[in-house]
Amino acid sequence: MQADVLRRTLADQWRALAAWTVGLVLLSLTYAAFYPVIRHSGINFQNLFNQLPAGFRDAFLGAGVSYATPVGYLGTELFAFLVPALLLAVGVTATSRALAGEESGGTIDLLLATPLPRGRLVVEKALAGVLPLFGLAAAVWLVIAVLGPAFGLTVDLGGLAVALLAVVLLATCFAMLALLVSSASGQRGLGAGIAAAAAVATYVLNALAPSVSSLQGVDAAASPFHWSGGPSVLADGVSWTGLGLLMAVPLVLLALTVGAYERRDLSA
Amino acid sequence: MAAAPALAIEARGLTKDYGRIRALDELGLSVRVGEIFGYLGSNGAGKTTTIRCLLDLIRPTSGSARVLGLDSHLESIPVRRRTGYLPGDLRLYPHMSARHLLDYLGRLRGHIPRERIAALAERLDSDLDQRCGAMSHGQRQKVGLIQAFMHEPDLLILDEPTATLDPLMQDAVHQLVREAREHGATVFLSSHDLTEVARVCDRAGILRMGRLVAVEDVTALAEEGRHIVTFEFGEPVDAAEFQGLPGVASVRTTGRTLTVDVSGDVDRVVKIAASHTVRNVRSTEVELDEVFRDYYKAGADAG
Repeated sequence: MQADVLRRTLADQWRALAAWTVGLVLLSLTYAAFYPVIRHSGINFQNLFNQLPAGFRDAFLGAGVSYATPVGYLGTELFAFLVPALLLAVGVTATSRALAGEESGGTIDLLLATPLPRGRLVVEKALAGVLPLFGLAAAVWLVIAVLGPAFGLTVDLGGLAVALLAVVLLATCFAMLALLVSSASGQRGLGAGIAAAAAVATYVLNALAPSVSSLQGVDAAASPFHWSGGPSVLADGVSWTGLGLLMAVPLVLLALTVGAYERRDLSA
Repeated sequence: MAAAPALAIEARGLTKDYGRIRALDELGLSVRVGEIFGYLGSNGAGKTTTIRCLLDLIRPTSGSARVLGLDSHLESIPVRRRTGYLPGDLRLYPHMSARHLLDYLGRLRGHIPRERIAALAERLDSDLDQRCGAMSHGQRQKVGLIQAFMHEPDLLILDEPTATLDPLMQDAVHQLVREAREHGATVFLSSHDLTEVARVCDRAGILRMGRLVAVEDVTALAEEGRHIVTFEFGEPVDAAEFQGLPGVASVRTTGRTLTVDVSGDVDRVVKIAASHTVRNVRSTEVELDEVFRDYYKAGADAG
């Protein structure tokens, strides 16, 4: 037994993953190619953004970051919403079907009639859902690192890597939530739905908290979007606390999944 | 090394509730090592529930089971390593070819020689290069059988193995089952087909509403033979003369006709009948499935 389930599950989704990679590369490239237009437009984006409601502005532009700089531009265009949302969608789709799909497809009997421990099955399925996210993030990094300078997009590549890592971990948080709910209930849709709802709720929380007095500080405590740095991540980096939380949450959720799955009656 | 257990499957007080529905009701079950045990019951009797408990896919509400001498839950990994299982509702990965699927399941079991898979495929006339999704029910069933037999397990748990196969393939499966027993394996075969159980099994248990209502020695039953003997006498004869004779289960009289249900030797019955004027005698052998049906009805009445 050498991670056969992991390899099988990855092999099953390679077409979809290849498509996602191509899409993400083209998207990053498009944004990179558009940067010279922004930089040379002469528009005072700062004034433009200042007219927006504070909550809305902070959600898309890091405080004190200029939009027309490489760091501000990439932060707003890629890190504020787009890349996290895409990785989240890929991760949640994969993990919500990983175990529940074997059940609804009726193949779980065949799979678990082999001497494969349930805990191992869970871990391999989780890895199969999360590992591709690293690949997708690496593709974005490569596009910016290799082609970015040609468009005047020069950023600290180490910082970019950390920022992307944080986004991968952010998506992993919700992917693991989807795995937990779908595997504990046997229902794929429920897992995906709850993970999506949690993502939207914590995203909104992160966007609103700074401008709503009663929510002050709640985002730092409860929103993975806050931990991962948001739009100002390339300027400010990711805090160690944030990284720690982003790693701890998926591990706790994974442990809960193993526990819940070990105890369950699998549906025939 | 612990001594080899005498029982391949041993369930005690196995109970499984689904909400308010009791699927298994304090089931006791003993399957001896090296026998082909038929597990008879209609749909919903609890056959699949029992099997899925034995394989730790579901957990009993109470009670426990030992499989190959090991606890079915706590020692599920070694149990599954030594068991081959054909699910009742077999589903395969539609996008995979049979060869890929068997390769995958084989690797999860360690190493399975390719030749063994090829040999089984040849015997069952199975095309391994076909995509599982494009297969007919019978073809899929063959792939299921190959994966159950390919690691030469000590115990085979087959849930309705021949339900979707044509008679020729049914024979091939029965042959595989017998060969497995000859090599020392135990076979636990669930079925609702009485004829199949009568033909291949050594012993059979009848399950009804989650309870085992009877366990019978199939070969002994077959050897014993059971007959319905009908006499036409010259005059009405008292049924009491026949009641209580060895092997006599029931006696019925209508006018001068007397019908006796007798197992084994009919000697005593015939000799008593001979003391009257016998106008005619008819004897019909009771098929094994009728024997089972009777047990089943008795269980239903009791339940």
